Amino acid sequence: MSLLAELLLALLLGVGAGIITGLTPGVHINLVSLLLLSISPVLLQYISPLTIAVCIVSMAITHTFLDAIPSIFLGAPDADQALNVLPGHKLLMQGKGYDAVKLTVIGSLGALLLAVACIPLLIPMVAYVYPVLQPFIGYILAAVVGFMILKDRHRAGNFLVFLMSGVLGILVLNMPNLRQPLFPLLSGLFGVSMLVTSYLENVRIPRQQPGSSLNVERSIVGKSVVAATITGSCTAFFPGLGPAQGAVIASQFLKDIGDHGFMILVGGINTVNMIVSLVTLYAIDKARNGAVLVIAELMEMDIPSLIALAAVVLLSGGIATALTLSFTRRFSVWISKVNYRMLVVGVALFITALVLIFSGPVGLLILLTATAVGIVPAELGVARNHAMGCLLLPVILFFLL
Amino acid sequence: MQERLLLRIALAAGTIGILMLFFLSEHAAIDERAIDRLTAADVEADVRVKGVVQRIDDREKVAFLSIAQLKDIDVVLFKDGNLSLKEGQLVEVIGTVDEYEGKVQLIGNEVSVLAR
Repeated sequence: MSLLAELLLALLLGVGAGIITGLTPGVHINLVSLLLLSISPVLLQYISPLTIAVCIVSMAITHTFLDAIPSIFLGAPDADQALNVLPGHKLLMQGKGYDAVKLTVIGSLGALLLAVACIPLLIPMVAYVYPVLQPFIGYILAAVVGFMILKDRHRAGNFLVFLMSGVLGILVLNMPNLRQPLFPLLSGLFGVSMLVTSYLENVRIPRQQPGSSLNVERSIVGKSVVAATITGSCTAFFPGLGPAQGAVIASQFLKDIGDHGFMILVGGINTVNMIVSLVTLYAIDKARNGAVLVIAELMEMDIPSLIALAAVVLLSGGIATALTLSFTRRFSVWISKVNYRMLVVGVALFITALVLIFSGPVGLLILLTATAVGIVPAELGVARNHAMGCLLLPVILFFLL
Repeated sequence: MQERLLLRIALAAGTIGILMLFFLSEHAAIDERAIDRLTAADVEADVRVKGVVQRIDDREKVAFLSIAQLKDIDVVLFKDGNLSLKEGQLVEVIGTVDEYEGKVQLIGNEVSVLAR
């Protein structure tokens, strides 16, 4: 088989894996990437490391498009889509679930194109700015957290949620011999807690409009896509600062973009974060997420590899756009036919079973605790993003202590 | 369910859960393992090993130790100060099993001297 055919096949396999990880709550790309790494000694006898990297990148990009669907339709987000649950759910309750996903797709595709075009600028930026910022990362993150807590009138509530989730994060991340610690932690804080609230409030999903009635001003799309590209690039400098936190910070500077712009922003940052992670691997030899870490283990990132992977990003982004819209149409029809309360119970049980399989009984305790903590912001009327303290507080303490 | 009641239950459950996890993390026993029993299957596991320091390669931000029982193992220590270990000391290392270039090693989190 020629190298080109091998790479195209890897791309399609990656897209297929991205469909599964993106649509299945709790199944993360890191899991599949680590699986590929564990069987790489066998795979590398037949294929090149670049082929495995192509598979991982196309999976990761496809995932960042499709993960909006369970986040919006099932209220079961991964960490990167956590902040899209609330505005997405709001649109779902108006019968506009399709539009909600479409907004994230606009953000993902727009920011993907812009980020790939900016790679020649990003390389020197990452290489020169990161060493300057590195000594101050802890202080910058602490300032960001302080800003987020103090920015509205619910300061005590914001602080309580940040502190509880932060302490929980420290305990979970330092628990000895716990596998996949982030899975029960994030599923509880952002997924199951939302499902419990939906169940208790007896939420009924209205009939969904099968197509789009979306009318977003071009200026909002433009602003949100540019902001997503800039913010997604900046988050690559700060470990622990993911797409969700980046979106909160960016939205402070873009006050007039509304829920639609915010969803474009989160969708875009999520995708850009993945692209910039490839750039940071090339420029400063640092992997910012699990999938890129696996690529770093497999191969040396040089300019030809970076160009090849950028082409994969573009191609898989195009395929993922069509796939996401197609799957969303089917979900829109299906969601209003099922008993939503039963679906909520089913998804919660599925996540619980996965937690038991991946993390064992201690994982179950973490899931229950994180779910309880995740319910607090909704009941206090404060933003759920403060629960990202579960990652931010451990990272800040790591840099400052 | 009334919102205030749900909030109280969530706060109580969250606090109790955090306390239980704190207790678990304090008392979770890290198994003591024989060096010659550590294999690639243990990668990412947290373990406790005892052995005699055979060799120390002390660099600016990291130190490489070799500690031995019947078999020896390399330990990587990321330092935030001076290293006060000496060759010949009996030490206990708590760390995470890792694999580097096909060889099992430990990323040390805590080293205590048992006998000088």
